[in-house]
Amino acid sequence: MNREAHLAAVWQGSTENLHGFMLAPARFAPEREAVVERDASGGLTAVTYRQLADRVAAYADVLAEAGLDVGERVMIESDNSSAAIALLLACSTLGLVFIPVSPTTPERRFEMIMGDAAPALYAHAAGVEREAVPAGVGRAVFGPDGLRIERRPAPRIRHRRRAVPTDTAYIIFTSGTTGRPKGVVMSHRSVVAFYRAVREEGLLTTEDRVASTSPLQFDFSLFDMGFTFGAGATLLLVHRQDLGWPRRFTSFLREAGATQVDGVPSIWRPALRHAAADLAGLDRLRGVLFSGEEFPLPELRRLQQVLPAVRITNLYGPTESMAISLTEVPNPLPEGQDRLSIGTAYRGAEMTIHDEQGRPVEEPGVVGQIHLRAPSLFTGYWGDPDTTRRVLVPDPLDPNSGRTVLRTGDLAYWGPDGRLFFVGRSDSQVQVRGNRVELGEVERHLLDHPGVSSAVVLLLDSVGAAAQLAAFVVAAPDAPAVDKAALRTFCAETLPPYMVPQKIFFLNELPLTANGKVDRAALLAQTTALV
Amino acid sequence: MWDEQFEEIVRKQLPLLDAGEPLAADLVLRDYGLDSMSTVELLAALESGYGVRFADDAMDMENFATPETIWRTLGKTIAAGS
Repeated sequence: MNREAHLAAVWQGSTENLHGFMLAPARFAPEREAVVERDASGGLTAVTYRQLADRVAAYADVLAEAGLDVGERVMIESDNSSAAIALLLACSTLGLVFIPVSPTTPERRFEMIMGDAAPALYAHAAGVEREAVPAGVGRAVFGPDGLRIERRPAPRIRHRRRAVPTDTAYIIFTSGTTGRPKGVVMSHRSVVAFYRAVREEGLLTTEDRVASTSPLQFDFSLFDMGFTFGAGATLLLVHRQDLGWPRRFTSFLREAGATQVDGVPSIWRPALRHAAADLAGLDRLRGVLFSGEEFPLPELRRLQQVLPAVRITNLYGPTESMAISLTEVPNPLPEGQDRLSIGTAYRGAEMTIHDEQGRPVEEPGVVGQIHLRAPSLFTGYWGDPDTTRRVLVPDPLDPNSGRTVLRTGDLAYWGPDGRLFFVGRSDSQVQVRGNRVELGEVERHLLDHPGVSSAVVLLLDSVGAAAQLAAFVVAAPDAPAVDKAALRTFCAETLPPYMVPQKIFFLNELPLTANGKVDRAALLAQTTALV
Repeated sequence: MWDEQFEEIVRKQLPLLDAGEPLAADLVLRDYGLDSMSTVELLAALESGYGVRFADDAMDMENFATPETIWRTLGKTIAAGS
């Protein structure tokens, strides 16, 4: 074996990386089902751990021919599928960084991510394709039949031979305040530390069948993979088309034998409203895990009524640490409880809360900002050291050590029993169907329209309905009039669907507070009158 | 052309269509604020309003693209049930 092959074998045989951790069951239970998904004929197909590991190896062989260096990026455009999972694990085996992108990403946003991330290779699922791939970036297509390089990346000199656990595993692009998507860079070491801690919680057995409902570019889907494969269980991929329709969703869960369903709270709303009997009939289901946003409590209580034997787990935490805590929701939720606890950090991590001067808050009921010490912290924001420094800050309780902690931007208070309760954000970040949205990013895009002179975007939260983004717009006096539908279309050309305002209100002027800021409270009050 | 009940059910899910604007047969409903969540509400309202049940393969975003495609899908569903 030559030196290079030896170093590659050491990395591949280790579990200190994404692929080593996820493919471990291929060694002790190769014939167990790893992934179940809908095939082209509409039936269900299973891929065993052995088949998955073989596919990863086959993809890696093809990928290796592209001659990329450790740390180079591969943009993967695909819905979640066993083929996409194999490709991201193949990237991992070669020390390549994967960037998942959804086929529903608007063209202009895709171009921004492509421009910022400067990938060496763009790999798309068969049937999904973009024109806007710059020359010099390689192209590849993948599917159950294999990976094929369509255009080789420009030749390069390699400087690295050996991937190490601090190398980057993936980058997730989320909403950013500057109007450009923000890339969260995660290392192998961090993500594996998190997966190990989750496995310690013992929520799954090898017999479990875990339905995953999140798109590939949302790291909730990566959580589902580590959660499931870490336990040697089976991952069931719920296709977008099944998820959107309550009866199709419940039939998929029944057909695939789901024992656990992971997803944002809003996946349950349509089924609770229109297919409650079908939900109640899912007698194999024993666990539900949600994340991404707060679960509206009336709906959570309804879910407990419909599925009384199911354990519900609240997964809390930002992409910058994949997550922080897993907290079981009391069943049934006591009358009068109006907030769910986010519990305590996973074993091996600790949350403290601090006031604006960085002083620790100890007194129960007093709100502070959550700071996290953990082995799963992200490396930084891609190409953005300033923003990184605002978030990875010196530990306020140990400032001389040089160690940094994650300043999450999340506000919380201590309950009487030492558990934390989340109350909101310290900035204007909101969650729409579990997706992170910086309101400022949506406002900036509205202002790019020539017919708009000022714009404010708010999240309208009403009981019993989905939270909606509402835009309050003042038209530019000299420009031709713009209508609501045209403005929505303008947003949809650049912003992902969850960032497009669902309601648009035209105003003559924005209400201001005494010190001249836009009066968001007054705007919210006005909506009741406007609706 | 469709009946009044249909018009009312569809309009209810279009927050960006002002009351004075007509509901054209080829209106791209997504542009007027119909998203996946409100599509499910629309489906449920049609099913209870017309006493029908859409088949699994009729539940497809393409069938809910414009008033015309929805009306056609509804017609097929009614025909299949009678």
